[in-house]
Parts: sequence; C-alpha cells; structure tokens
Amino acid sequence: MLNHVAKAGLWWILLCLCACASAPTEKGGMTRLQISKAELDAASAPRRLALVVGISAFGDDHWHSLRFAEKDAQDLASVLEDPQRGGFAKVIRLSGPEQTTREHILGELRVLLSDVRSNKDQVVVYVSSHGTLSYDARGELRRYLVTSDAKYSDIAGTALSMDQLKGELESSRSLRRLLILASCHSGTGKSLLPPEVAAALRTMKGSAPAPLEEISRASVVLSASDWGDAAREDALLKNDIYTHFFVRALEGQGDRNGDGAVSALEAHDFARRRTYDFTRGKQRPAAEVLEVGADPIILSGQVAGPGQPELVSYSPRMSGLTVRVDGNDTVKLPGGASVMSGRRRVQLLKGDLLIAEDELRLSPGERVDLERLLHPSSYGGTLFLWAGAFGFLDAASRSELFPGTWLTGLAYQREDWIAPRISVWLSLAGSTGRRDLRLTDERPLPFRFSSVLGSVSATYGWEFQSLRLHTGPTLGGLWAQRIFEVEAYQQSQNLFTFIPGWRVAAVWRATKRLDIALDAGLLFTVLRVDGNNRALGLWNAGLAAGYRFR
Amino acid sequence: MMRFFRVAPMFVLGILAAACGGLDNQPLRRGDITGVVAGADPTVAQVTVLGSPSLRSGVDQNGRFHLESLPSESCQLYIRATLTHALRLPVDVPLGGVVDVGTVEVGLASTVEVRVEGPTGLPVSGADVWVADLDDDENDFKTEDEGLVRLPLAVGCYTFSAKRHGDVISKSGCAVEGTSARITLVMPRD
Repeated sequence: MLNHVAKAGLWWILLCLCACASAPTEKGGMTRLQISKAELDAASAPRRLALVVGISAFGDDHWHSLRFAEKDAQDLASVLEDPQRGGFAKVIRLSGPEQTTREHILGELRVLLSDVRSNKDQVVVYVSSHGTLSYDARGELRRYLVTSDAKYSDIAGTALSMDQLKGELESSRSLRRLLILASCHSGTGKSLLPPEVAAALRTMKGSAPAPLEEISRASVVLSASDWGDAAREDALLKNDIYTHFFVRALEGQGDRNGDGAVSALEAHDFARRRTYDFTRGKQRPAAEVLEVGADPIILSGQVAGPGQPELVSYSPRMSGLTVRVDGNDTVKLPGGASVMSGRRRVQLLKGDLLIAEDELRLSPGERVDLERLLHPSSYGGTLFLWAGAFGFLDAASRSELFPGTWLTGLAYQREDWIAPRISVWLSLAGSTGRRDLRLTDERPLPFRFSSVLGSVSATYGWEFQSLRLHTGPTLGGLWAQRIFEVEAYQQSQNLFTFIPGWRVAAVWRATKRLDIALDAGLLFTVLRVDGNNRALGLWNAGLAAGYRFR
Repeated sequence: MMRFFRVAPMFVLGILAAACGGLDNQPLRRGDITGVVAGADPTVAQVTVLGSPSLRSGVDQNGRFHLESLPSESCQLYIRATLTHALRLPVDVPLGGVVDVGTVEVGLASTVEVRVEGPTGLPVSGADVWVADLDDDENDFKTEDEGLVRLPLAVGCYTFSAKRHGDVISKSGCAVEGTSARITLVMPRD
C-alpha cells in the first residue's frame, strides 16, 4: 500500500515538473520523449525476482551448525544473477545471524514482493536451513524453518512457520511463484525434532503432515527431500546435495527439452534424479505443482523456440508409476521426460501392471500432464466452422439440374473414438441463393434454391508432425429445393436423397485449441430426373477452422 | 467378410431407395404463345400449331388467344380468323416463357379444290376429306356428287387426306396465292 502511495506521489511530481517545463523560446507545449520500442518492451517484460536465504549458524545450541547452507545460497544466487543464465533483475541474499532472523527474513520477503509489478513477474524464494515440526496453539503439528534466532524450547513462537511463509508468498500479485526448500522435517539430516514430536511421529499411523502443504494456483514448491527422508549436505560437493545439482541444472544441464531455457521443474527433475542416485536412494526430493505446463517458471536462459514435447506428472497419486513411451521405459514418476514429437504410445505402469495407456499426438513445445491418461474422456472433440462447395461431377448435370454452390455449416470431429486412429465426423451445412439452369444455349432459366447437406463419416488417420491425414467412407443426406418463377412455370421442386461416398481430410493442429481442416469428398447417388432414375456423382470440398474441446 | 460384401450392396441400395422427390425439367422445356387475331369471328376462329392439330385454341370476343404448354421449339401457327381468312405465322416458343405475337392481321385465304375419284376416274361422293396438318377430326368435310370439296387455306403446302369404306389416301399439295389449286386423291376402290 505504501509502495503504491509512493508511486502515485512520484508520478504526480513528475507530471507537475512536465507541466512547468518550457523551452527557452516558448511557453507550454509537450516534449516528445525518444523511447525505442526495445526499451518499452524491456520495461514491460516480466521480471525475475528472488530471495535466497542460507542459515548456517544458530543462536540456540540445540541446532547444530550447517556447513554449507550459506554457500548453497551464494551459489544459487550467483547463477540467478548471472545475465547469461538466470538474468534475475533482483536477488536478495540473506546470510549471517543478523540477516537470517525470522523478522528480517519476512521483512526482506515483503520488500521483494512489493517490487512485483505484474502477475507475470516471477518470484523465487530459496531457503537452506534446518527444518522442524512443532505443535501450534491449536495442538496441530506444523512445519517450521529454523531461523538463526529460533529457540528449541519455543519453536512455534520463534521459528519461521511454513504457513506464514506460504501466506506471504501467496499475497503477491505474481502468478509464478516458486518456493525451494533445502531442508527436511524428518528429524534426521538437516532436521531436528523436539523429543515429544519425534516420539509422536514414531507412533503415528496413517499420513503425517504433508511435506508440502496445499499450494495455490500457479505455485510450485520444490523440496530437497520427501517426507521422512533427510536432506543432506556433502563434504565432497561442498553443498546441500540437492542444491548442488539444482545449481548445475541452472547452469544449462537441466534444459531437458532443448528450448534454450531451464524451467523450475526441469531443474528439479535434474536435481531430483541425481540426488537420488548420489544418495543411493536415501534422499528423494519432492515437488508439488498445481498447474503443470500452463505457465512454466523459467529460472535460467530464454526460451528460444518450442522444445521437444514433455510428459510430466507431479501428482502424488501418480508417484511410483513408470512411464513407457513406444515400448521403452522413459521416466519414473513424479517427474518428466522429453520425447520426440509425433504420435507416441504412452503407457503408465505400476511394476508390470498396466494402469493406463493412450496414443498421444505430441507437438513441439507441448507439455502433457500424464494425469490426462487417467481421464481419457477429457477430450471433447473438435467443432469446426466449415465453408465449402458441392456440385455434380458432370457438367451436363451442373448446367441442367443444379449448378455447383457454396455451403456453410458446422462439422464435429471426434478422434480415437471407436478405436485408435479412427475419427468420426458429423457435419451439417446449407446454402440458399439464386442460380440459372441452362437447358439450351439460348436462354438461362433463373431459379431460387435451398439445400442442406448432412453427413456422417468414419475415417482412418495418419499423423505427420502436427498434420493429420484422414480418409474413409461417408454417408450423406441431401435435401434440395428449386423454386422456379419463369413466365410459364411457377412451382417448386423438392428432393431428398442419400449420398454415400468417400472422404479425405487434412487437419493441421495450428495451436493447442485450433485446428484447420481441408476436406474433400466424392459421392454417389441416384436421382429421379424427368421421371427416370439417373445415377450421378457429386463432389464436395471445404475449408474449416475448429476449436478443440478438452 | 463375405457376409459384409453381401450386406453392403444391399445396404447401399436400400439407402438409395429411400430417396424421394426428384428434379423435373420437362415443364421448363415448354412455353406459351399468346396474341390477338384482328377481325376474328369467335364462332369459327381458331389458332392451331401446324403439324400438331391437338394444340389449338379458340379466340375470345376480342380475338385474343392463348396456347399453353407448347414444346419449346420453332413452329408455325395456322390462324383461321373467319371462314375465308387464314394465315400461317412462324413463331419460336421460348423455354419456360410466353411469347406474345401481338395483333395479327389475317388476309384472304386461297382456295384448294380437293377431288376424290375412284381408280377408273369416276368421282367419289360422300368421302371424308381433311387437312392432316390442321384437323384431327376426320368428319370435317364430305365430297359432293362431283367428288369435290373446296377448302379455304392460307398460302402454303399441306397434306390432304380422304377416307371412304375404310380406305385412306393422302397427298401433299399447296395453296397458291391469287389462284385456286386442285388436288386429286385417287381411292383404291370405287
């Protein structure tokens, strides 16, 4: 609030100064500012802000010192500040006993959050310290980060509550918030629990407090260890193990999909796997993400173009499942993997048991949450707005019976409905207007017409990158009316006929939601013409833009 | 699979059979002719499509006539205004349209004498005589004792027919302007 008042005041003063400014030879007028588009873009571009906290020393002797917590913070801050890597506009580093008290950390966090200008600015908070648990005033077990002034005898009153930290973070305008915790709450490693809490945990049945509590929209919380695991420092690495590999990821090694940037989840997956391997499975970093893929938080580099498609899931209920792509085990969840674009057979397995499978069409830059495989009905088909034309194949019928005409209408496509690669199409289009019949070369016969063409098709599809080709049989129904108002004949003629045929279509997936389709069909029918049955061929073709429902 | 190939054609035929309605261009291949016959006697005046005697129309008190649903092609109208006035008029019938020939002035008809005789040259009386291009009624005229019938016709050529005891004989002849033409029809029996 104060910040807004200060800004408003600054603008007011600036305006007054502008109003008072004058050229030496004339009064009044406005001064044209020379600001380049690049400068304007830079000023309005999303910014990256970070608070990096490393707490190595503690006032209370119960908390033993951590060797590398401050170095963890320094290493991470350095890579975030590096213009060639993180390029963060602002990084607040907190270390030493005075800067790492609870109140100082919260104060600096508020300063950082007050600098957020838009919801596209991203905020990163990193804390390397001890973690612990304690009962709050209501007797509920809560998680705390041990600050330099935290008292072992009064954890709830002196340590930094995770709830409070989370609350402060969620008060920000930013919709790209990342909290990285290089700590644990297991009572081992970088954790110390009061005896009564440790005793309670030993006897606790069912689930303990989630290591990562419920998080808000577009928030990501990364933790160096899962519940029950210890976060560890390593003398060889001279870092918290997870932090060491996290920094390596930001230095470029974590760009999994090759798009030129390292996102928070890419870095986490990189660090998670190496931490797990380094500790031989004793430390399993965890992540909890509400929206994967909607708007990734970029920590290092710039997105240069669409990378390879990614398959990801951080859902707790997917944890432990193996992702098999085209028959090859690719990643074990939680986590993600980049795969080649195109049509991929993706299976989720628990051991050898197949849980779910689907054939996914993956486009460059696409990020697929694998939970989608558990909800196959989430795809709702594509609704097209269609415009095209149809007419008889032979010129004589076009001139003597019904000239070719434009059609507009709707078409609905449902992919992989009956079976994989099979699409079902429903379409309905119509037209009305005036045309001429030419029974002789002498005199055209004008008439008004209306027509409605409906069809149902089943096609088999092939995919080439974002282009899909379909072909298959179709069955249509055509109603047409001719109304003549020539001098010697004023009557209408109606017909309805079924028109089986064959259809081909090319569908280009322009965006995640937008499909562009080009289709054509050859049709056959028997019409009653001048009292006799006549076999006739028809064609139709059109262009459509469709919205993919999910 | 064999069952599919048996059932599929039946299915397609069944679907095609379910069609209804159709397109009919026949009405568009016809047109109307209208006009006014100047000085017409409504009791005898008639407008006939030459060569199609069933396509004919009388005239009203004002001499107006209207021929409907004529084949869309070139034709000649035979206009008889009175017993002694007749005219042949070429007209193009438009597709689905109506052509108005306006007011038609009809001049005096020429006379054609049709004589019906037997194989020995003796006249045949009581024979039915008609102009095939104009009349579909075979009882229009009967020959007199001299075997003659006098027909007022517009200048032009016609097919004349005679019938007696079941025998029918036809012959072409022309009405010539300013003079009386004679056509002789020879019956196979007396």
